[in-house]
Amino acid sequence: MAAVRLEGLTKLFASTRAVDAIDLAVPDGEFVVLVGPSGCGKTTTLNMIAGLETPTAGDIWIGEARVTDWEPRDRNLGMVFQSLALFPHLSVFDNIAFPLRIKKVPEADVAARVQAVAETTRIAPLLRKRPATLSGGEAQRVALARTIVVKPAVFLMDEPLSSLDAKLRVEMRTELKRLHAQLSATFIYVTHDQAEAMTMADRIVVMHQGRIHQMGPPLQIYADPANRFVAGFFGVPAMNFLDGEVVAEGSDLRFSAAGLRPKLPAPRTATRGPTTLGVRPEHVRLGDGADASPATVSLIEPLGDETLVFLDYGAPVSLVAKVDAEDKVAVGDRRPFTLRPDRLIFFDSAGGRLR
Amino acid sequence: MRPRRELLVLLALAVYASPVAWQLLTSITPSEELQNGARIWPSHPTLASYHVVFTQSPLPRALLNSAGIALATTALAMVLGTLGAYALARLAIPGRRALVLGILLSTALPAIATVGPLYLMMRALGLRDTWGAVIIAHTSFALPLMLWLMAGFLRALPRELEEAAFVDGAGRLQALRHVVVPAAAPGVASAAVVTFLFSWNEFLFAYTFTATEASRTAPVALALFPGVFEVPWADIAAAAVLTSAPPLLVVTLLQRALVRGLLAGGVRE
Repeated sequence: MAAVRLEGLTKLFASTRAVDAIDLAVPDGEFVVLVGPSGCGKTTTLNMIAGLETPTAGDIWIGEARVTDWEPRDRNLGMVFQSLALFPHLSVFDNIAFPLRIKKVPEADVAARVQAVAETTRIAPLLRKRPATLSGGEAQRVALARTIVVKPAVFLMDEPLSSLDAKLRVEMRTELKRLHAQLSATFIYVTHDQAEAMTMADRIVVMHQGRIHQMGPPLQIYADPANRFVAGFFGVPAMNFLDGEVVAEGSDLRFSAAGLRPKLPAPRTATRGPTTLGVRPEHVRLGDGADASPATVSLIEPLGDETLVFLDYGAPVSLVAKVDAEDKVAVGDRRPFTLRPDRLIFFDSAGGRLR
Repeated sequence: MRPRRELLVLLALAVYASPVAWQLLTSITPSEELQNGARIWPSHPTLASYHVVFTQSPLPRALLNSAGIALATTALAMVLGTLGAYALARLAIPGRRALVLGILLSTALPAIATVGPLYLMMRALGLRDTWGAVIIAHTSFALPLMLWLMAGFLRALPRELEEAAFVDGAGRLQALRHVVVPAAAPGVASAAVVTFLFSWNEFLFAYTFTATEASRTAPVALALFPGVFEVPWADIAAAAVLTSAPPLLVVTLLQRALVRGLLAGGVRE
């Protein structure tokens, strides 16, 4: 078991800064998820930890050792790839045995260890099959088994669930979390799926354009995003962003934008000039109130337990509200709405958070 | 519609197969009948010519030479070609473009243009009239195509396969041997077939660098087939059939391996 530390880690491809001087300390046993849109540098970061890419600058520490220039095979890692990378010419048994045989583990131990790990991952009946004959979920488990069998100190996972169908993906999330608890090893997991990050991580690292934008526990990232990018990346449907400005009205501060003029909770540092207000759909409420703005329902999307309501209130973009499914709403209804004042967040024109 | 199309295919195949069939028929026709002018079907089919070829001609020895040379060429070209192709496909080689261009240009060189200097080199090396001379010449001429084919196959292989092997503890050569080459087996097999056929059928170098039965290959022996007073057409036909058999066999056998290899596939798209 081992902690992982990245110090000023940088990777240039030609003149593109794929990874730009990132610092990250992952304590032993933590499940950390690197998340961001494609091209944000998360996979390159993972490949550098694995030793598959050479950093342009910076250092990587695993446990007490500086492994920056070590070969992948000397780093004591396990890695699950996006394509799973099962060896097509080998049976499931031989796939799982591969890392043991390469490390010259005696054949008697190989058989015992493969059998044991096959039982943990519930693939014992598949050992004689070829990868091509496995279902997506089975192949997924085999790839995990091949990684677990060497008992690595650190598990690296590069979008391992991305090609499973939606239902299986949700099941595997739970299974991976359980596995993490069972192995108490360090997991570094890469995904572009914010839901995967939210559900699995002890701590989320949000990356964008080669940099870390925010690190923290899932709920903190969701409720208290560091900037507009992070705010927009997490949450389905995405946070509503309204452009306007903060104005003083007597002793009150109000946010003034096309079609609405909500009062802001005091005390707040006055911020003059153009501002973007962010509010999550679940914090938009239908109903009259002191500060309600009029709107017309232009579209509804029932989710079953909840319903998404698109409100036209005078701005070019509809405001999305997430309401209880019991609340009967129909297209064309005129429904005033309010914004929960304690859950409004503000960004400057560059996307930075205003506090 | 359907049967008519199949009939057309059969007709086309018959046209392609006719010279081979003619050779086959000639080989089982008694010599006297061949001297008496044109007829296609032998009145008394006989294997006499095959007996003659096996017992009284240099062909058996030539077939052995051919087999040895073609197998050695294939093995050598496979080893060098796989290593070279892997380097071209995966490693950052300085001057890679120039190298690839050079390989491509070398395939454009007519063999006849280099046979003179090559002959002098072989003689200087003391390799004239040995398997070695033919194997070296064949390997060097088969390599560019081998590199080309193999680099394509290896490039098409997902990089993650060998990366998985690296993380699992393999070095580059181990990953190449245990993962890359087996996973590219269909490609490796077809490259091997192409090389074997090239070496088996090659005439110019085999003719130039050999002098006696010690190293003459089957195509050369066929061209120099001895006749005493007349051209032994039936014997030559029998020898030709025997020379054609091994490559046909190899293609048939390896084709099966090829199909088997193509059924595998462990990487999800």
